[in-house]
Amino acid sequence: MPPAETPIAEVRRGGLEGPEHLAHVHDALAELWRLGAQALPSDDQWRIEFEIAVAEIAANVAQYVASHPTPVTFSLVLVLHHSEAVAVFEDAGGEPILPEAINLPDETAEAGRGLAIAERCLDVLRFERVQAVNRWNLVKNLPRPA
Amino acid sequence: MQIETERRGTDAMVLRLTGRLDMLSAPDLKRAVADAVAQGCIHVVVDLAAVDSVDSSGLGALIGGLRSTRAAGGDLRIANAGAQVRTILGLTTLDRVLSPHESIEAALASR
Repeated sequence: MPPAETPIAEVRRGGLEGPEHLAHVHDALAELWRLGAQALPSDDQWRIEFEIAVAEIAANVAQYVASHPTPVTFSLVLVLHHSEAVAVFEDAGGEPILPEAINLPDETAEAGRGLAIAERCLDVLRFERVQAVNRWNLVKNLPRPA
Repeated sequence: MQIETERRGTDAMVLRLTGRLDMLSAPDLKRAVADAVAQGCIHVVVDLAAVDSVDSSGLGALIGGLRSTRAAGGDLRIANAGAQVRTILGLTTLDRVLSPHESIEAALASR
């Protein structure tokens, strides 16, 4: 088994309570880009798409914990590697009800696009429930140098 | 997010947004469009020049505004969208119904 790749940059946020804390997620992204500036691709499109995906899952999780019947917080870990960027959201709330398929709704729909947007921006979008913890894993590969 | 309003003529309103158009601020945009329509401004231009990012809730508010202005016989257009907004519009194919205009004047002129 090869040794784990040493991250270029890692940022953690915890104790996030709901939509009013979404600004902390954007701050964490900004910090990740600052810490990993030397490794970022020159093309902004990659960064924009990762940010869009992180923001969508953050909103999804924030809305979930805010409506949870008991107080729950969520955490975020952002890691930049040489080959990919990873975001992991965790909360200890009950198991959420997720759609069986992720599709874009009709153009006139006012809701229901978040997961589909995130999926389109990422190489991996995976939800898992492990030992009573809800975990979203987001991975976006860095573009290969031309 | 902040919203600055500017009436143009008898039936048009420009809404200048500053900040993030997201889950927290989407209701504010929906209210601003509803207020504009209530004042007879059925043509609404949303200026996104100072918007940092738009998420799916923000898109929902824009679609809601589009529906309410069209129901009143008008329209909602967006102007000065940056790379993030153009990306999320393209990902959702909403650029077909919310096509970005290069400027407020271009959006108003396309009525």
